Amino acid sequence: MTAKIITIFYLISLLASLWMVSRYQIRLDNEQRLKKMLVVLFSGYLLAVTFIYVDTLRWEGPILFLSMVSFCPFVWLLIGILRRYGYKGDLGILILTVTLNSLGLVVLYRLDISSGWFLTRAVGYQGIIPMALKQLLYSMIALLGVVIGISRGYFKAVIEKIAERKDILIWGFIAFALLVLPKLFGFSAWLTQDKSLQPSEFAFKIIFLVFVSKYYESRSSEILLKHYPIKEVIKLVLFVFSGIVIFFFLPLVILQKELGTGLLIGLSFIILTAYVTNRFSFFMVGLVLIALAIYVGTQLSGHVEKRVIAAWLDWREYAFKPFREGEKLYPGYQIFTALAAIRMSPWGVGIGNGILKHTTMDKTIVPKAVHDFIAIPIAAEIGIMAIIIIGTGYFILLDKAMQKNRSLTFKNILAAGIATAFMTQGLYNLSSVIALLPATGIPLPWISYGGSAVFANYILIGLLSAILDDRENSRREE
Amino acid sequence: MFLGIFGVWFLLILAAFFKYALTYDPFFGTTKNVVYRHQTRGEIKDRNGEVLAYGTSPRIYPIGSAGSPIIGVANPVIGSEGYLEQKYAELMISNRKSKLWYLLTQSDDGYPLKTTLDKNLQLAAYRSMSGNKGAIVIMKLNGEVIASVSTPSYDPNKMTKKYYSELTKSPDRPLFNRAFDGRYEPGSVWKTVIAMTLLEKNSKGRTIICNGSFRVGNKEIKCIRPHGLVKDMIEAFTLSCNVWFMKNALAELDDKTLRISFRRFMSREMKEELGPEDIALSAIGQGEVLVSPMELATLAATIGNKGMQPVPHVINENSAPSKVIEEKTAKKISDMMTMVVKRGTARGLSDYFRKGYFVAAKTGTAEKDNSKGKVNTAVLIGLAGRSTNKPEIAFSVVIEEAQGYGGTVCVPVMKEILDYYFFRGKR
Repeated sequence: MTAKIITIFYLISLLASLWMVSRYQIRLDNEQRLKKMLVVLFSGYLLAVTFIYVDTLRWEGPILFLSMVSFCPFVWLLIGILRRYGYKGDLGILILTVTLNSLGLVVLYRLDISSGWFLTRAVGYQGIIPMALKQLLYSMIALLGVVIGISRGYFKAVIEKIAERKDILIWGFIAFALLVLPKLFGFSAWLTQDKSLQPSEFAFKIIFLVFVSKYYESRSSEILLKHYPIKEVIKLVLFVFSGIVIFFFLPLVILQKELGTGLLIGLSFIILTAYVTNRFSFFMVGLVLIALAIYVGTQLSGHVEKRVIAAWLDWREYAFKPFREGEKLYPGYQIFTALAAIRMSPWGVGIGNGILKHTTMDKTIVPKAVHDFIAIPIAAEIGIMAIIIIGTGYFILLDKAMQKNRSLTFKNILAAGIATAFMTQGLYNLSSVIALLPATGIPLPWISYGGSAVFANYILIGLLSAILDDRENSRREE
Repeated sequence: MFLGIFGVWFLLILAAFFKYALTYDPFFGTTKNVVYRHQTRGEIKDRNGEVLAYGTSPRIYPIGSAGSPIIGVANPVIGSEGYLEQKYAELMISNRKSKLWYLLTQSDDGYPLKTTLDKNLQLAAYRSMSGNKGAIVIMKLNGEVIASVSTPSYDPNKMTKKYYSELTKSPDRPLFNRAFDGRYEPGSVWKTVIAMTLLEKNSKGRTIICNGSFRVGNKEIKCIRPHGLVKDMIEAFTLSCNVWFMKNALAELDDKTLRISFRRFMSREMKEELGPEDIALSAIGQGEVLVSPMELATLAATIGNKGMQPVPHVINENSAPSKVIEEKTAKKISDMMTMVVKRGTARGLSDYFRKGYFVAAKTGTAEKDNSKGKVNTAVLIGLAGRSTNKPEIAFSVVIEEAQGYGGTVCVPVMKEILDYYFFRGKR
């Protein structure tokens, strides 16, 4: 019962912070509102973390607990840095992401899973480190970077620099190099062993969006013409599409075996194209093309893709049956355990009450529950309300990033692109954990464990808030 | 447009979440569901509301090994075993009514499972088996199973990983539910079905002379003793004369008729094309005929229920019986089975007539050669009731590796159970 009441309070705190972010502009000069906002955010987080420390972990790991608690003073410190540099923009997006990030930290802390770490291994320590601590450090470093970046105007400068450059193909080459070069030098897709640093994250998220935005900006005069012939629009889209296939899709899927990221690129691209050209038919055609590509891919390539499809469509059949007899692979098992975990109650069983970990092993019952299946522990314990809150968070971000009048400047398209990328990624992840779409290893933005994902996401947030500040300023000048 | 695309997508996700969280899906009841192993299960209750299993870890089974294979065992270490704990796990764990009430669900003990079993009769049936290997099924004529025993059994209260692995390796297969899944040659018990098939063809059978043995192909089948002149079916049935049934089956019944007739009471598919040898053997319930004790009890219930075949069940389900025999035929078979108790091989049960009760039965013995030499499977099916002419329950008893016949091994076992059923142990 206690767990449920605590969970309700935590949910209320999350909801309240989302509501404040969506309703008001959070600025440094409105001291009272900012304080209220932080109190709401911190109270829920501290309550949840303390409850987990006392009830679930039984007072074990005081250092980890203190580190988790230190996230609140750290955020307060960040506000101090922003104030020092006299930042005047809206803090809404940043606080929104911190809210989602803190939810991820709470779940990682509750799961209490540890693993080795490349940083500690480098200094000779072979033991394991709690994943919550690692994620906390990643988040803190990324947040610090973003805060310094936006308060000192680095992100703005970067955006201006990119906006000034007229050449487009250079971005394609950079992405290509980022994806292909590590392979040539013998690195795999993952730079580190614990799969926390992944170059494709950066290549996909940042460079891909810049590439597409720059291209559409250069052709905006044509696209915006009302009576521009559809044939020409299709030509435009096909041109950028072939660029994406060559620079991003092929190296990702063939060299890095990143089927999921390839799929995300495709989805983000068709949604963004539909937005830019204001033609819904492009979205539908794009969906059909993606389905075709998946079909052709499974027909052509080996068992990896087939296994992914089997785990999606026939998870009941393959839940306990090896996919191929030679190597033991149970492609439907992850989905089976995930669905079994959420079947207890749609409202969740309360923080700490769920059965998420094996009693004997340092492993979650749902395989990879800290990575791309993190929505399952959240749904199982905090309930479907938490899933709704996460989705709403992405929607608020989308709402803030969109420009009311559609002027296709580079900045506007990039802002829309960033919001689309988050939205697509988040919804794709939530769909894959309940067998709506194939699970291809796509993390939930800000919530899943993963270093490079956190860095890439926060860099995008820095760019986005720089664009929004710029927009705000120009509106004020008018 | 953005909001439209993403909004529809998000609503789909939420709908899928609710679908998987709320709908009943027996697939999740599997013993391999690690999440369910730790969940609170509801109590299992018998027909009078007495508890057969309660609690979660440890889960307590008050009647212990008496109810094992049918009730089963649920344990965080080994998962779940047995009929009820496995088949109805999904029902006992996820209670959809209280799932929607957020604050109430934590103290929720799961969904109580009300069964048709009778705790005391189950105990009596288990006790009566006293070390025999086999199975007993007792059901009401509407298909409600009130006791089902399979021995050797195991103690669900002692379940540990080591004990479980011993059970899985044991040659006696205690985890196997003989009453539901065992397949036995019913022997002479199957003559009820043959007699039924003959009567349905409006044939009373010919008079034959039994000289004690009959040769089919290269096999010689013997009667218990030479019966001499066997006039009609009633006499043959009461004496359980193998020769009469084999000769008449060969003369009057063909492959197709037998197949249609057997399909009503036997779920196993027989091999393609029965030769004369197979027909003769199946006439005395051997060879191709393999049935479970549950199917045998259903056969008895069908005879007692005026030809209406019930669907056997342990949990109350809405299932209508289907008519498989004419009422007239069922009555004739029932009368013949009464004769078996009065004058034939089940004379051990004849006491009950004097007390004004109804008992009808048919015994059977299937001989089998195996490594231990000749081993009998002793079988008994029958009907019983408190008034002179109306049956209430149907029963079947199967004892493997018996030292004797259906009439000498199964009848005492059933007598003990019927004593309990009629007098509640007060005699």
